[in-house]
Amino acid sequence: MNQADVIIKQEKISEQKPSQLAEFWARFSKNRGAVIGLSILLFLVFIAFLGPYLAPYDPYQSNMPESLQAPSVSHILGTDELGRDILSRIIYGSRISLKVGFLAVGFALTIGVFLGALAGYYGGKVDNIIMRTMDIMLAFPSLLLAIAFMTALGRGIENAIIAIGIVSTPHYARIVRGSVLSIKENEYIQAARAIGASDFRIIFKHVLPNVLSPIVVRATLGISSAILETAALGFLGLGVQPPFAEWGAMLGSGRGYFYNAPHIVLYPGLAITMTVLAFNLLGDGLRDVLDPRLKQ
Amino acid sequence: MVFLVMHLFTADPAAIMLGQHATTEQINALRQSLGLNDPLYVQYGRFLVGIFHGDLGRSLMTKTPVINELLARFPATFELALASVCLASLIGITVGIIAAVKQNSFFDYLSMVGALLGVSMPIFWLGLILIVIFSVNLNWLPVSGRIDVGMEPLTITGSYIIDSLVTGNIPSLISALKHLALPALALASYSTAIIARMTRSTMLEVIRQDYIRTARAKGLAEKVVVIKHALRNALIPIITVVGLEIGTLLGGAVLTETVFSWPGIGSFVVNGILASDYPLVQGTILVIATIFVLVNLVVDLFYAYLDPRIHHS
Repeated sequence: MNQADVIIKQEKISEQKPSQLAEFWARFSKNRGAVIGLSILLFLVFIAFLGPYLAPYDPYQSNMPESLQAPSVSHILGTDELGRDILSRIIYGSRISLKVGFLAVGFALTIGVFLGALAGYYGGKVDNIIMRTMDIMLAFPSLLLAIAFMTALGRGIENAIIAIGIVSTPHYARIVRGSVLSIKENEYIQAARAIGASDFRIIFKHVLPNVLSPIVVRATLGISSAILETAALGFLGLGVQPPFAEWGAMLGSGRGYFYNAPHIVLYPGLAITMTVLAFNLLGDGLRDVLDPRLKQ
Repeated sequence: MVFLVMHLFTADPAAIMLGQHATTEQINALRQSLGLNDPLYVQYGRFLVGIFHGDLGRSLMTKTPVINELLARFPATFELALASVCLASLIGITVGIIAAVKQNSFFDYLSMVGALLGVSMPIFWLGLILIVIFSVNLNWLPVSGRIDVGMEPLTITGSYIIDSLVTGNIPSLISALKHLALPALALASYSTAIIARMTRSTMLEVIRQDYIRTARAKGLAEKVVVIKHALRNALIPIITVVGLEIGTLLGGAVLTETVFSWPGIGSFVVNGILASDYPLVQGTILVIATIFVLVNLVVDLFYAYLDPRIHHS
């Protein structure tokens, strides 16, 4: 067999072999939980993007004569203590919850991956300083630490994103450090070092792509935690401030009226549960799909 | 860390203490007397010395020592957290074991869907829903507080349940238990789900081991195989999760106590945050983090008891 035949045969084999993406999708689509989670999530993203066109009323427009109305044809989910339409507020609230969830995790990912990669790759003093700081942060229940940061930074969406992002950072740093430690002595990393690749190039081009799976899984589950923490901060009056239609803040402001009008707390809570459930289903599914032991 | 975070405070504690009508001179004089004009490392040194003397500073709201406020409220939070961790462990471990033993059964699917909902539901929302169902509609349980007015037992430990039991005060015990039921249930929901999922997955790994097959082959009853052979070996990861969940419970207590007006540390710290009372927030978070670390230490020490192969030298 000459060289050309070998090349043709190799090309045929590569044509027959499904791409990584196709293989991933084949495994993903068989996971019922993950598909349900993704479907709910796509629905929520759709609602969030088209919120202004879908909401039947202005979510910030008070209408006192119609306050605390039970669900009816004109207000499908009823009205709140200021007569605002709860469905419209929930639709607008999806934009805030998803925004805070994604941005807080994005913040934590950026810092956590960077610190974890540095600690794992360089080891020694750098590792000690970074990881002991992360350990100290992990010694605090995350909600309490987020509360402490919010107390220091002040209330508002941006500060909620920063506070939740900071308290989530150690989780990513730990995962990345562990993964970097396990692969940094591999031959292909040593080969890259031998041909003179810079540390920056080795970390970002060769190390990080190989630790992507655990990060993706953790980030997906992290968004659900971020949404729950945002709602908790909003409920305590520390997060997103009125009149913004944030789900946790809606529950907080509805507390004084829910004896007579339970719908005022029922639907925002259901919206939080459904969103968190979607990310949890997707995260659990991704973990199963991306786990190399289950690929065999 | 708590000290650093709290000193990033934008609000000036002296200005808060003196109120809106204070002059700049008065604020400066108070800052000087409180030592707030000193360099950060001097303030930190003073803070550390204070901690070792049991002094966490004075609350800006109540003007009393933070440690006294915390000690007065600690039994309420302890009672709630202990009830929740017992409830979560009891339900979580039992459901996890049954789900693993009856893998792929209707009970298994139902319990795991329930567990998934448990980790997805905000506990403060569940608390509100429980109040609507059991207090407002069914009128079975009280909405808030720790005990009915005038029913407080003689104070020995500060825990109404323990004190009622010790003094044999049954009406107080019933009242305290009724008040505790809903907050404990709401607080335990998340941890129950986590413990149930962990127990199921660990038990599934253990019951496939050779020694379990051997135990069955010896003719042991299934109950003995599951409880004595499988559960004992699955307990270490379960206990680890229970220990970690105590941190979640302490964080969750802030929310649950706010929903049920439970007079513990959690609701107190929320008021402190809203009033920008930084010595109170700083002291409370420090105390809760210390409890969290101590619980994890106890869990570590417990490993040696559960698995004789583990020795702490």
